[in-house]
Amino acid sequence: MKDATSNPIISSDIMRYKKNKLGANLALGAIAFDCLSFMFLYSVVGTSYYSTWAIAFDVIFNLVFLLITFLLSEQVKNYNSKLVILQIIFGVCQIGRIFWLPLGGLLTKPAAIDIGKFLVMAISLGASGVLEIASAVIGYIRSKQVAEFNKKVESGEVDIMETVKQLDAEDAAKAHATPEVAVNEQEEVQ
Amino acid sequence: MPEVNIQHLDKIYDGGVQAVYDFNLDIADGEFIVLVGPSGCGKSTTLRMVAGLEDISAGTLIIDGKDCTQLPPKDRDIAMVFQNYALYGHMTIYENMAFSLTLRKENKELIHRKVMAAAEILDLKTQLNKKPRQLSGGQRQRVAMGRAIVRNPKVFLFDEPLSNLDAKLRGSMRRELILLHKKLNATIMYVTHDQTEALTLADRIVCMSMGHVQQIGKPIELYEKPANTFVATFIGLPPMNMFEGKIEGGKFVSELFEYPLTPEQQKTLSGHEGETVILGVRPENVTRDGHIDLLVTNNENLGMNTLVHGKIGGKKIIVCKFAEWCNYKAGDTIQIGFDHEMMHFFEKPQPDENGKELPGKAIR
Repeated sequence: MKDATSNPIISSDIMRYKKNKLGANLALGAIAFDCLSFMFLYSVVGTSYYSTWAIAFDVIFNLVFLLITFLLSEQVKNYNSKLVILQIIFGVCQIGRIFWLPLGGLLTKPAAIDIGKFLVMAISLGASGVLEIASAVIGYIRSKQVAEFNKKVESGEVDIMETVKQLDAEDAAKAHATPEVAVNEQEEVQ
Repeated sequence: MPEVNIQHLDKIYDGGVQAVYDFNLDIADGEFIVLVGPSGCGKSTTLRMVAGLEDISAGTLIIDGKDCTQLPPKDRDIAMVFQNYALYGHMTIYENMAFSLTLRKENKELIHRKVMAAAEILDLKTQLNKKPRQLSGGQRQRVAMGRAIVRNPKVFLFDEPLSNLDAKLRGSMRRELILLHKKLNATIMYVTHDQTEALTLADRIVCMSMGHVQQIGKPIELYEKPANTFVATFIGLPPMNMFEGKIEGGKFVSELFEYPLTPEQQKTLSGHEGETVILGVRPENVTRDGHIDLLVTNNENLGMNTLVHGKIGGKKIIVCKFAEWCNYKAGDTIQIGFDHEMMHFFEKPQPDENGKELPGKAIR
């Protein structure tokens, strides 16, 4: 029974009872990568290139990003697409941040950070931004799917229990048919 | 072939205490068996042995032709519903119901179909996204049942599932259980100490006391033909009135009254002439057309009937249940008799070799 064929009604109905864990986990991944990036950045803030104001702004942005992204992950988990735009803005900002402190530190003379640290920070921020945007996109698509499916269920266009019964009947028919088919095949062979 | 076959089952704990003695039972496919008895009689232990939660000290357990005596619980294809529901508080109702199938790594769509089918049967469709704490006791118990249903087990085991519910809810859940049994045609073993549940739910009742099976039979058999004094007093509410006396010259003679026996009763009791026997009469089989004086001590009107408590000979307290509204006052004396067809005779309880008193067997 593990190879049951996929039914679009059933797979849509499952979403009504399961959280959007993929979307939420992507957002949490964005938080994890952001943490990785600022761990590396703040290990080199002692150099003269980074002004106090720049670091202060970066710290505040990180705090806001962590808090808002966490709250947004809960919204995504519950198929709420109202704040998808905010998530995308944050995602773009994360990617944009690569070109500010990390790249600035690398290009200044003498370089404030080495190429290795820059790459880690750039990849971390890039991954954080991409995951944030992916979370937003998946959250939006799934929330629309659930909303549309709910409308169909409410209007009576789709009857879940009827579908379940129909699929159960098909499975039962298959289970009954299998031995007969085997017998028929045996007879043909003989 | 019976669905469940239990042979000579014993349970002896490490300290040497024996909880269950020689339990034998064949349960047919689709049968509803209720294990009933007072606390400590071994009914839950028996159920837990069938579930695999207790080791079987001796005997064999066969489920659908497969020897399950030594099998771990997960391989027995049974599902158990507990008194305290045992739901996961952090999961939704849907997740609770799907949990066992998720552990088995079943296909998600198949799990969904099973959960939805169970939710439909149990009328839980609108509760699936809630957490257990948001549901009432009855709804939580239905979820626990749903969790068992989705597994489609060979046998359902219920361990006092309605004990946590209030009286009204218990009544409605009893009716739901009967309907559920009809819908699923499931084989059910159900443990309770509530004789009302036992009488209303069971196809057959297993009445237990002190680890021993006292009687197995249909509810009406236990009520009308109790096998011994224990079953006679345990089944029926209020319990059966018991009188000790002797059979002498075609009469039942006790120190409080004499009562004539019918020729049929005399024939049945012919081997007990002069012996001490126990006469049992249910409160509802006491009539108001006899010659025994009853001093009324209490009159309880229950609407459709009246319970009259009183003393015979100033000593023996008995209960009568009259099917009408009565207005006796404490101190009134009324004449009572017994419905001859419904008089039960038992041997006098005798002590066994350990000095424990064994219930007196029915004389038939």
